[in-house]
Amino acid sequence: MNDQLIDLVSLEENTLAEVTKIIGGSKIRARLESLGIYEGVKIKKISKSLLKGPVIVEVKSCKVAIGYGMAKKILVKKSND
Amino acid sequence: MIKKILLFGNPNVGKSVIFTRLTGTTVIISNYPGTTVEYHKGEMELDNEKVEVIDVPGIYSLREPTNLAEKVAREMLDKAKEEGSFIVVNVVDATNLERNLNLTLQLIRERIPLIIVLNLWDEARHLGIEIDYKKLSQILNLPIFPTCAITGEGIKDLKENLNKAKMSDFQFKEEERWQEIGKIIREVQRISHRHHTFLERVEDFTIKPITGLISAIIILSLTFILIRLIGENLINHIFDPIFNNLYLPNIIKLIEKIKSPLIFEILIGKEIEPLKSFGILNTGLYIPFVIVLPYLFAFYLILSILEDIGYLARLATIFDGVIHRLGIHGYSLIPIILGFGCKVPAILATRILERKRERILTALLILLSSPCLPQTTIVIALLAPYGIKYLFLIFFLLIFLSLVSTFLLNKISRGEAPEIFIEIPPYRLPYFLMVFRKLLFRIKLFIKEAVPLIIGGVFFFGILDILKIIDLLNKFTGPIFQKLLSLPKEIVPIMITGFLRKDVSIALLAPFNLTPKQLVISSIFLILYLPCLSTTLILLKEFKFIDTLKIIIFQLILGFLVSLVLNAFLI
Repeated sequence: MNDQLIDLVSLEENTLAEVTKIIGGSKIRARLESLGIYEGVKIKKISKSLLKGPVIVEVKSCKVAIGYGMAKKILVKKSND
Repeated sequence: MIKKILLFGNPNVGKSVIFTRLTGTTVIISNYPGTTVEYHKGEMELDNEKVEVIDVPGIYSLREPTNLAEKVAREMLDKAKEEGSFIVVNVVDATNLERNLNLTLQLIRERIPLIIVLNLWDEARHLGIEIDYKKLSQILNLPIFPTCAITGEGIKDLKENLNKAKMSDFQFKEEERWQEIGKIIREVQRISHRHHTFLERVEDFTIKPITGLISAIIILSLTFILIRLIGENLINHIFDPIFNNLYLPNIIKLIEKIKSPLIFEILIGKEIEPLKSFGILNTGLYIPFVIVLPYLFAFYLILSILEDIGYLARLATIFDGVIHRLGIHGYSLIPIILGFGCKVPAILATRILERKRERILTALLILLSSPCLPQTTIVIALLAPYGIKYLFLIFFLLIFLSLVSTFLLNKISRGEAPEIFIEIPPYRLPYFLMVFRKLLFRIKLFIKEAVPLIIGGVFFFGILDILKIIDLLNKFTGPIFQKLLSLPKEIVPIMITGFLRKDVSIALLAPFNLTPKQLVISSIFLILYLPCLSTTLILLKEFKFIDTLKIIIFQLILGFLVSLVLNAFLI
């Protein structure tokens, strides 16, 4: 059950997860990577999206706001720890 | 020998403060050729030689530039590499070493002489982050200087050692860059366990959807009250008295000596009171310096403080959900908010947006969503006696119209809305010297770019007035207003004044004994029908002529349509 992939929008608040897949080309990957979001990185979701607004995550102890459409393209796996 | 120093670093790491500490007073702000990206350039003395210092726009990554700032930074670096004799000072945020090292490693890969500044050193220690910078220096094989730019600690050491910059021989695999950074972090950084600080609680509160929205509304309301308070007091107690009591009487005395009525009319105007006619040394200076500048000062002061605290990124995030649907992202909110005060700096501020499409959509929202602050004041004064419902009608109608127009324009124009993707910086106390420097730069920009345009525009209208072209216009358009909108034909000359200064035009409605309905219609009409002279000129400067024309025609049509509909249906 825990191995299921969900997108970042569906992830519950205050949970840790690992980014497992980024759907999209090199441009979106480069953009995400510049702020430390890449396949394999651990993140924590800080706040959920309201009215299709951005999702906020903590990655490498920084908070980052990710637009709704972009967050939909980031697939994560919940971490147990 | 070093001829050029480039400052590289992530946004919000105190790079500009380091820049200021290195260069001192002779700083030039300029746009990178062909872009709206601003950067600062200055000079410092190194071994008795003058060295150019460039504050490169803050970026997170050099590889595959994904935005304008990154493109500009990339080009600046390539140019320096071509010319040679340069060093790069990489400013790193010690409170955020892991994310910052990403850029550092990319710079190392460029094979350039580097020096690392570990800024916010004291804050990192305060937060319980311990960095063994000597070990980091060994690993990266680069000189590292811990600094606290705001107090100036460590700056002297840095200045004396700039010539120790060197090329690093640190090796890593590009595709394992983040893993490599993780390894370094485990070796040099220790974070002691700590409790959540009060500031962090405030951070959470102001960014979560519901509480964030509530706090945003409170902060914005306070901002407006404060700006109005500062702006109005500056005008009434300082700028207007200086202009009317000191400047105007003396300049009139001087010009009367020429004894030429034509020159007097061009320079001072038909009437002596400012804003009643078109004199370049009278109205032409009164508009930019007495009406616009005080509000601009107040706006930029508050805005710079909010920016330096780190609030603007939160504001953009909170409202992104709503305004994303209009084809623009959260950052457009900043110019729109500026527009509540005055449209001129608001249009200038759309420069922070990268694409032309976003800029035009934002400009439309700026122009339609609200009257400017002086106008708002007059509308409230005129209509408040008849009850608050008329005021609500006007302001909600404007917001509704602006949202619908932008929404539709977004649907019919090609391209898509960019996604927001920004770092939410931690709250920090603003460094007041930097706030004032920024304020000064922005005001200088306004004086340099907008003031000549306004004076030129006033001159143009003065000539039209002298040639009686304006009178002719009044005669022809008067009946249209009488018939279509049931407004007195005397409103036409007011429209012309309105082009100069819109709040005055609305105030001039007072003597006509209009009914509340007529007041609502003429207020809405005067708010919408055209941007004011200064705004039009700024639009022309920032956008292509054809785009400005489209915006103006759109406003004119919208103004007429809305007034017609109101005239037909409002009881």
